[in-house]
Amino acid sequence: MTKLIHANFYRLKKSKCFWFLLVLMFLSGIYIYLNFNGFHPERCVNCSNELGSVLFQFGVASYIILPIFTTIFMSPLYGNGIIKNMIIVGHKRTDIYLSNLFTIIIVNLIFALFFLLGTILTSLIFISDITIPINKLIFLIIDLFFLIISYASLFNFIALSFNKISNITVSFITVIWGIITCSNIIGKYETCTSNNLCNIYEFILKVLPIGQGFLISNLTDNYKFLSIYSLIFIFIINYLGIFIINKKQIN
Amino acid sequence: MEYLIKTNNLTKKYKNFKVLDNVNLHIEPSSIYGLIGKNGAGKTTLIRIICGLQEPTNGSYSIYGISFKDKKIYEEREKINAIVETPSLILNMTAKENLIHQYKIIGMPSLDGIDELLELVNLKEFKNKKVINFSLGMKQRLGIALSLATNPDLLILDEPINGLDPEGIIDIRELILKLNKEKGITILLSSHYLDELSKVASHYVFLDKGKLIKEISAQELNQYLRKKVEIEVNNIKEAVKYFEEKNIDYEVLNNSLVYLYGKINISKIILDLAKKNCLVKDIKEKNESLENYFLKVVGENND
Repeated sequence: MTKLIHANFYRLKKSKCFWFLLVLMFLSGIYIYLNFNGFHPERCVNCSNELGSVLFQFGVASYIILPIFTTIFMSPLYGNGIIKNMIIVGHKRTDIYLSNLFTIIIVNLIFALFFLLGTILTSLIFISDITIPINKLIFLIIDLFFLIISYASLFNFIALSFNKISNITVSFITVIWGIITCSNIIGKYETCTSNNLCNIYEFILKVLPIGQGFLISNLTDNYKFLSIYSLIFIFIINYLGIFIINKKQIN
Repeated sequence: MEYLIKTNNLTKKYKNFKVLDNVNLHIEPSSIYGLIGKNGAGKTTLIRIICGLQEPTNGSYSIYGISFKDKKIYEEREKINAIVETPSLILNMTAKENLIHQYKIIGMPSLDGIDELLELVNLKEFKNKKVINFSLGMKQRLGIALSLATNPDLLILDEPINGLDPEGIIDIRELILKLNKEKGITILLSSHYLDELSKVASHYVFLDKGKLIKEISAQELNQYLRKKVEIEVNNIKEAVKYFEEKNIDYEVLNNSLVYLYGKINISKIILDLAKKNCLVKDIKEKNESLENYFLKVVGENND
């Protein structure tokens, strides 16, 4: 599997899409910070958590940017026969799946880092601070870490289960449906009065990775068990993905 | 003898349609096998199964005696390589970068040998050119270079000369012969271009409607294809006696037809046979080509 990971990173180094999106992530961090603070350079006196509010916006931004990367970077796998070649030379399909998953996780972590870099550098210029309690901050960071792996698992699954054209279509539908659905639900969740309804909305948001993204970016108070939902999702989607790739007839 | 590849009643069905039907194939080392069949005969499916891209519905195959279900098969797969339909190339990388990528996939400890591989396939001067700008022939040659990076014992080429110009076809043919003769690589080559196959193959495998209908060596085939004269006589015994006396190479087909081989004076034969009360009723010159042989074999399969 290490051979496949080395090959992936070699291809990544040569990928213009990766470097472009890296810069885009950095600029997104700057833009979102400025947008949150109304583009005012002075310190926001009556605001709290202004940097904290921005830092975790990656939870939503990644859901949009990562599939752009996976559709472009992974389309040659089936389209150009790279997976075909890997199988022919003796690599196991499970190893191919997991090596791609590992690569996408690392890419998403690097994207997160550049997003945070953009945010933090801008906050230094405009003098902000984090006022989230340290306990909550640590939990949210852990939740975001597992969310990054969830997103990587989801889009790796889509890229390796479908051919090139279907990959683009399914990724697009997944993103649009996810954003529209969860932005509707999060609005209803924040204003709901009925306990039962609130619990239903909360459950949906916790189960769907993008739902978690919205919760984390909104600095939810229900942060303690989000990682467990992520772990369950990661396990299920990757198990399914490995099953599918092992049964797939490669043409 | 240990066969490089051996299939045992290999069958592949898509829903109710049988693409391969109890195929028993034996690939000996150091040969060039020509896999011949019409479109839809099952050639590419057979290659895909052997390469691990698809699973058979029934039957089995082995590589160097290791069954495809054995975990050790992955080690044996490292000894074979293939270009199935089209070469696996990353178009926005150069030829050299594609080879480096391949080296990383197979875990080569260093990048030594890349220039030699490119030189072998006559692409050294194009090593820094992006593959998207390559012609079809150049892509095929680069695909072969990628396959050779693993130093395989068996190279499988699925219709490698499709779409190539005459110069490209010659390049591929010469490369195949070079790889077999100089490096001892066994080659399994599928093609519609029977004339081209006849210039390289040492063995032929005929597939039709998923069935392996004939496996024959080039030597046996050449025996069949050599120029001959077919004569029809009314007295086969006298004719045979005469041919024996005159040391004429012959083959009796039935009680009136005989094939005569080699340089013969047909007029003299007719006159001599007439003196022995053996009349020659008909004479036909036969010059079988591989195409005719293929059509004959396929025709017999349809009977």
